[in-house]
Amino acid sequence: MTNSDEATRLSIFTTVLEHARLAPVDDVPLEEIAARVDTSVDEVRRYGASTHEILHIAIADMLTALADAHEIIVASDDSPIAAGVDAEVAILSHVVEFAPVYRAESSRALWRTLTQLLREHLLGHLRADPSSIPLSSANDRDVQMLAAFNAAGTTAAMEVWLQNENSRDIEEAVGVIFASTPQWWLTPGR
Amino acid sequence: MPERLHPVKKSVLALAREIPLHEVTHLQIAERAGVEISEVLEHGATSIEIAEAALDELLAYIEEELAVISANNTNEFSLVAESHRMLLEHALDQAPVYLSSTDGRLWRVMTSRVDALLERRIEFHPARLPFTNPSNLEKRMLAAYTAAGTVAAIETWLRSGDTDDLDDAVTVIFAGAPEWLFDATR
Repeated sequence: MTNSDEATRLSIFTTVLEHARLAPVDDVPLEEIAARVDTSVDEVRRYGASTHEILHIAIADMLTALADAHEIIVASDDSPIAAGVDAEVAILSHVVEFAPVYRAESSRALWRTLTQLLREHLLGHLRADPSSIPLSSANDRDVQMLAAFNAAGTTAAMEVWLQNENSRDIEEAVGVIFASTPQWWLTPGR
Repeated sequence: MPERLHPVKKSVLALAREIPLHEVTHLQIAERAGVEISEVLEHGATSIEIAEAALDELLAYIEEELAVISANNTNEFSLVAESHRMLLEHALDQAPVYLSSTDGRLWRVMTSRVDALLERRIEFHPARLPFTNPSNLEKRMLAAYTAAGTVAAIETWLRSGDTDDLDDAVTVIFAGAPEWLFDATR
């Protein structure tokens, strides 16, 4: 991809994301995105068949960047609780920033992407240090089940929180999610 | 499969063992069930909708069985273990149906049922909750975490193919849930 292509891609993604912060984009035609970016519809179509599809790609990119940033926090922090709070605050801030998108009926695939990324992240940590798992002998299937449990549970609790129009306090939501999480996840390896 | 399940629902679950669920047609269901297509349509607009209704009904039967068991057994931990075991057996029995769910839709049927059970458990044991005077939103979040987590663990277990030891899987599911939820001392 040339620098010019990259700049166009960035402009298209930024325009779609800015729109999504305010309202669902499902009915926004590609022509409108093209006009705002000052490019052709064919050019916009290179990044997705619909505005909705481009939005999902752009958000998946953001989530991957979030996960990468959290890897850096974890690597520089000895406290699993502090690192966990940072991660959950970051994810919830992202979800709140794009609340109209995540609240929309069509957001199911996005929640799945979020859960999948979180699951991979947790799986990596458990495989690297399984000493806190409270099972006498955990095989890889067990580790995958535990990572899946935490990831799906966390995003389900976030979804319930976001569905409430009055939800504003991210720290409070993180507190409820942590209270739902078994304590061994939050303690250093034994 | 329970006899009382409607032939249309039974047929969808049976056909899903032979062909991918989303490819099952109303005509195939009607022929298998021995009914008119109009009767099939009364159960759902697509084979997936009918499968959702069928799974929901099977899960309701599990709840009925659990209610009978709980009338004769007051050991809460063994009851919850039994409910996990029954969900695992159900998932294994309907594996071709659940594994055909590429968008998680069929698993959400199970999540809804487990969520409703957990909300009742949370209402019944307020002293166990990690907060005093929790709001309805907090209680719903606490239930949603364990419901979605339990079902995701079951899905992972089923997809692994390593499904011989149900008790082992039950132990892992308990390890994934918050400790306070089953703490009978509170």
